[in-house]
This record gives sequence, C-alpha cells and structure tokens, in this order.
Amino acid sequence: MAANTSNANVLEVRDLVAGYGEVEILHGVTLRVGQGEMVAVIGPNGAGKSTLMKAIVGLVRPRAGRVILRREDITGLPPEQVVARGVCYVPQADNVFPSLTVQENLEMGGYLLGGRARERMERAFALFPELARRRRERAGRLSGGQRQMLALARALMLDPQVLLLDEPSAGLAPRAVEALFAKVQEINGTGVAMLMVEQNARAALKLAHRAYVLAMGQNRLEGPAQELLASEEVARVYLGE
Amino acid sequence: MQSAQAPLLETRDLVKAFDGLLAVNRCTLQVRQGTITGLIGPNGAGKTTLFNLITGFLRPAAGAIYFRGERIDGLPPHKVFRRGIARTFQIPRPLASMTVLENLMLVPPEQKGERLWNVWLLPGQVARQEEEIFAKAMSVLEFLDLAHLRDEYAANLSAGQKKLLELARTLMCDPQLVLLDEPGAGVNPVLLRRLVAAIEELCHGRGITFFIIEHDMDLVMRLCNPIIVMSSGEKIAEGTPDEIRADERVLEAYLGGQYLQRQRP
Amino acid sequence: MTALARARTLAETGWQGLRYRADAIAGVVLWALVLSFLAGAAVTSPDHFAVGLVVGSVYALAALGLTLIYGVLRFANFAHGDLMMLGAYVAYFALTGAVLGTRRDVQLPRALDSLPGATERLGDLTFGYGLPLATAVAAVALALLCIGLDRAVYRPLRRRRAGVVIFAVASLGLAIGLRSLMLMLWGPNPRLYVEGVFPAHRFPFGVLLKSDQVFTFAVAVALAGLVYLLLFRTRLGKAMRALADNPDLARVSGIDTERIVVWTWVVAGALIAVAGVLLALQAQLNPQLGFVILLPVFAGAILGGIGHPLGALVGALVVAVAQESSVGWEFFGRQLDPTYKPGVAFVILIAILLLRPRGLMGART
Repeated sequence: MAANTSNANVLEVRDLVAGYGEVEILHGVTLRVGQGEMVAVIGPNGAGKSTLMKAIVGLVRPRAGRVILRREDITGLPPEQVVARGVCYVPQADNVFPSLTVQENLEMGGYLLGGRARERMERAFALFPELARRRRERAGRLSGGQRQMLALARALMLDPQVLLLDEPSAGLAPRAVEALFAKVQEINGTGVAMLMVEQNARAALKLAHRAYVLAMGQNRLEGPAQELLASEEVARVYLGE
Repeated sequence: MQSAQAPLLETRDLVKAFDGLLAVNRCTLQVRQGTITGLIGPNGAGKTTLFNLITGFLRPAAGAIYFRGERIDGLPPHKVFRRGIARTFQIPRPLASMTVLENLMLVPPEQKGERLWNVWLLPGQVARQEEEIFAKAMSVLEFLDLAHLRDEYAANLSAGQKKLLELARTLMCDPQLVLLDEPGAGVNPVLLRRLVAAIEELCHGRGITFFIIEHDMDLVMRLCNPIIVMSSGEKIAEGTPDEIRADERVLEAYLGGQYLQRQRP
Repeated sequence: MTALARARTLAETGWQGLRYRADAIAGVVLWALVLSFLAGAAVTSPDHFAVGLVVGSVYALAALGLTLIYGVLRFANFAHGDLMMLGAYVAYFALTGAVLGTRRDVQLPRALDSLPGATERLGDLTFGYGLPLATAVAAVALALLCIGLDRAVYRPLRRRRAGVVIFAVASLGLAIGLRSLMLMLWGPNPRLYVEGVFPAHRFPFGVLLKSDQVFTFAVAVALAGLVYLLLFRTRLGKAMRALADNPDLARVSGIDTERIVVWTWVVAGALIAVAGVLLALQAQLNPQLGFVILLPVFAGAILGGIGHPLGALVGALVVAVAQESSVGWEFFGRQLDPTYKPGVAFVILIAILLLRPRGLMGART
C-alpha cells in the first residue's frame, strides 16, 4: 500500500463509536478518503454502514472517535455546519423534497450559496439533462431513478469536497442503477471525492478505487477494490468463518 | 401422528406481490421437526414476508402452506397460533405498561377470567386457572432466568431482555414451531449466550422446532442446522453451515445485490 | 406466475387501486359539494354570502397562520385563537393606552390615539390612521412573543422529541394562560376600537356591508397574497416549505432549521396579530372570542387540507360562508338560531375527518 500522508486525505474517520439509544452500532470504525478517490463501504446487514454515514454528517452524534475533514475536526458538529464545511450527503430514502419542484430542490441544495445558486443550478442542469427537462415538476412525481439523480444533483450544488452516498442503488431497477453508477463515476471523474455505502457489493467494488468491508460495526477488511473483488476473505465476512 | 419423514412446515410455490413487485416468488421449502433451521439471505429477499405469510398476517397470491400436513395458508393469525405456531418480531413490542409477569399471563387464549360473568359465577374456576397460568409463567421465567424481573414494567427492560420476553411469550402455549425474526439484533453478548442456550435446550430437550431469520452469520452458523438461503423471493440453497459457506450461489446473492423482479416489464 | 396467482395479485392491486381511486373520487365529490354550496349560497342569500366572505377572510388569515405552524413546526397550535385576541388587545392598548384597574380603567398618559388626527376617520372607515399603526405595533409585539414562547415552551419539547399530544396539551395550557392574562388586564366586558353606530352601505343583490368589512376583506386578501409570495418566491419561504417536507434533508442541505423556525414564528405572529385586529374590528374585543373562533378556523384548515396554504384559504372561506348562511336555514319550519353557528363548523369538521381526512388539498398519507 502506498504511503499516505494525512495531507492527501480529504476525510478521515478514526475509531468512531455511535449508536441509537441503548444500542451501540459502530464499535470503533476507521477509514479515510483521499483526494479524488471513490471509496466503497460494503458489508453484510447490520454492519452499521448507514449509521456510519449519519455519524459523519452529524445526524447521529458519535459517542467516541473523530471525524476529520482535511485538517479540521468536525466530530459531533450539527449537519448544517458539516455541510457548510464541504461534506454533502445523499440519504438512502427520503432524499428529495417531494412538494418542491426540481428547480426548488436544487435551490435548497444551494441554499448556502445565496445569490450564486443560479449559475450553479445551470451547471447542475447541464450535468443532468433529464432533470433540466423537468425543472418545474414536483419532485414527488418523479420516477425512482429520476429521484436519485435529483438527490445526487441536490447534494452537488455546494461543490462538496467529499460526497457521502448511502446505498444509491437501493430500490432501483437494473437499468436505472446502471445510469446512476455511470453518473456517479462521471462526477468522481471531475475530482469529487466520494464515500459510498452499497448493498450491491460487486457493483460498488467495480466502481471504486478502494473499499472497506465492515461487519457488526467494525472494520474487517480493506484494500484496493480490484483485490477485494477477487478475494475469498470477503466471502468469509459475509458468510462467517 | 405424523411420520418423522414428513416436514413439520412446508411451503409450495408460494407467491406474494406488492404493487407489481414479487416479494415471494414461487418459494418452496420445508422445515423438519426437531431442528433449528436458519433462514438467511440479503436484504429484500422476502424472509419477513415469508414469516408473515406463514403466520397469517398476509394472504398468499398463490401456493400453499402446510403445517403438520394441514393447509394453513389464508388462516388469520390467531388461528395459526392455535395450531401451534408462535412467532416473535424484529422489534419487540411488549405491553409496556404491564409487568413482565402480566405480559406472560395474558398469552393463553380464552381464559375463563376474561368473561365478566365467570368472575362472579365461577370464582373458584377462575382462580384455579389463574394459578395454573401463574405457575406456567413462573416456570418459563425461571427457565430463561428472568424470574427476578417478574414485577418489572416491560417498558423498563433492556433491548436484550425484551427479546427474551418475546421468546418467553411464545413458550406460554407450548408451541410446536417457533418463528424467530432476528432474535440476536441489538442483544448484548451475555444475554445472547443465554438466548442461544435456551433455544438449544428447548429444541433438543423439549422437541420444539425453531425457524430463525438472522443476519448475524456467526450466530446462524453456530446455532442453526440446516440453513435455508433465500434471494429474490425464492429459495436458492439449503444445507449445513459448511455447505452454505462454500456455496457459490449464496455468495453471489449477497455480493451481487439483487432486484425485486417486476411482474410486468 | 400462474394465471391464478396473477389474478389474485391483480385483484389485490386492484383493491388498492380502488382505494386510491376512491380517494380521488372522494376528492372530486368534495370539490363539487364545496363549489356548488358556495354558488348556491351566493345565489340564494347574497347578503349572508357577502358577510361570510368577510368573516371568512379573517378566518382565512388565521387558518393560514395555523397551517403554516402545523406544516413547518408539526403541531396543532391550540393557542392560536387566544394569540389572535391578544394581538387585538395589544393593538387596543397601543391605541388607547387603557388597561383594567380596580374600579375603572387605568390610562397611560400618552397613547397612539393622542397623536394628531389619529382617530379621524379615514374616508368612510370607522377608524383613523391610529389603528393601522397600533396594528403594526401589535404585529411586532406578537412576533416577539411567539419567539419567546417557542424558546420557553416549544423548543424544549422539540429537543425532547415530545409526541404530538404533548404539544397539543402544552398549547392548550398556553391558551388558557393567555385568556386569563387578557381577563386580568382588560376585564371580561367587551370593548371596541371605536364606539358608535355606523351605517352599512347598500350593494347590489341586497348585500349590506360596512366599509370596514370591505376593508377587512381587501386587507386579508392582500396579506394572503403576500404570504403566498413569501412561500413561493423567496428563499426563506422555500426553506420553510422544505423544512415542512423533510427536516433532516433540510439540515443536510445546510439550512439552519432553528433560524427558519424563528422566522416562521415571526411571520405567523404578524399574521396572528393582524387577523386578531380584523376580527375584533368585525366583532368585538372579548377574551372569550379567541377560543370560540378556534373551532371554525381549525375546521377550515382541515377542510382545506392541513399544511396546505391555499387549502387553508379556501377551507376557511367555506366554513365562514356555511356558518353565516346557516342563519337562513330552516329546520322543521323554524330558522336556525345564530347560536348554532359554531355547530356548523363542528359538523363540517367531523364530516371531513370521517370521509376524507386530507381535506381538499392535503397531502396523501
């Protein structure tokens, strides 16, 4: 593995512990996302992948551990501040504002930009032409695939340093998944670092540079995605020793 | 009496769809008496839907479910319960404002004391039945080592204790088959060990059959044999833990993701 | 899938589709009923209809505030009516400086009515420029009060993730407290902004309206229009709607939701104050009045679809027209006593909750 200086890391998570109420889900998870990297997080059910995302973005308060964005410690900050500092998040479900139009959804994505939102929005429409065609439609009326695209576009409005994607392919038909992953790759190509949690491990590993395999709230494996794709150890994590 | 060869529970070509999405797609499987059978599979494989179909919360669109050789598909939940099938839920919902003991004593159906007349006209019988049920509840509690919590309000229990209470409730009516939906989720290791020991004792000692949905692979591999694997609404594999671990199709199902098949393209 | 299985699934999907369609049909029927009722009322008794429009416009402003709070803050504010009345009283106080003493009023040395020409009637209206000025004061006061109440009562409950019932009971408690405050400060006897009898004007079709009433209608419409512009044309308004849709997603888009909550209370507070003044102008200043109108306002908001601004306007209008027209209805040869007006609102409320809880324009649950 290449030597990495912490300078190269956009996002670092160290020994993160988090949970809901009395139940602790993450028992000390560590990972990092380098400049322009796409990092996948896979693992069996109950691994805590969604909780990990929520803990990074601030919807769940970590109980221990650190979340570091470049050099800044953002652990435990509320979502509004985390987002303002450059970490944007696409939730798995309920990821658009259904009664707002496509255009208004993007405006909300760019809320912090104030007046500059307009031009950023035009750029978003250029990147997502299917959304441009539907600017004035209510987001609630879009199909599943279109909604995911909108959710993605909304999160990109702030030009984030790192984008968190929570199971983007969930509930989508195969063709929509292809289109979505193509788009995700395109965006990563422009230099946006990404951390993607996915149920569809194969597809995620094909897309990502590196990946982490989590199980029962802990790190189990990590490495270049290609290696994990071919590895037998991944099978063992999913199906037990 | 059924022969040891015939399965205790059997589904044949079971089908259930929601809004055009096939949740259970011609699912055929058997659960043999006296086993602790595991049911695993990726998210959305249809495992909980299958449980709901078996226990009568859902009606199948097609196919049949047999229990001890008799058809039970389409029966309402309370009738399925009377036949001898009990189940727990992923998220325990005990009667929060009642004590642990009261939760258990409420389980047996059609108690004499439920009718107002009986309380006045047959007080002796009511009291006697109450004693019996009390004794049963206490024995269940002692078996699960929960006796010290008998007067605790169910709402005050920890997550793991609530799961044990769920199991206790199923035992109140001496079921033949117990369906457990993710019994290990959110339970601390100590209580988990107790739960596992209880299940093994109930199965090998008292002959109760268990059918368990679980995501914790270590737990499943330790506890269950055989293990049935579901994916995209149907059974794709069955075997011992070692066989399942080595099965390519199983790994593919977990890693490849899967899509609920659509009825109409 | 076998043909039988497909048929069974289709039947089940068909049943779900039927329920969906039944809801759509219920919607069409409801709209038809509402529109034909309005048309009928307008034609059969235009005078009651006109009064209904005026009263309805006041209810509409109130319902707008109520639906805004419900949509963004997610609770039914049972203190709404009493807050309105308080706004009216604050304007009264700003205008006259009068507050209840032991035997008679205690008067502030100077109040808005001592400004030159403040009480001189503006055209045919009963009041001078003093009242609008006093209303502005009340709007500011109530906005601040609402923010304070949110800090003191509602925000701690939000932090603790209290249930809907807790919020409702808390707001009920607040309502009672506010009513007592008004009773203490201004007494139980009704007061008016301007004393005296003023003639109504004749309009076509036998409609009799005072200039004040026409003014009320115009102001309410204008204000509703402004709220609309706020919600649909400004960044703040869109953020409010976003917050109503999905609070977590709003936070994750960088929106400071607590600040939006504060602004929502400011807008609601100002609306409440103006609606209160208009109400008191129509009827009277009376501590009991706030709670009395809560029922028709709620009925209107729910009829229109709770959470939907336009629905609130339409619903409130319908309830008001129904209430006013009910005076002309006959049951067994006798005319309906005006005291039964709130009963009309009550019946509408129950009917809607039973038949189509989401009202005319509410979101499908």
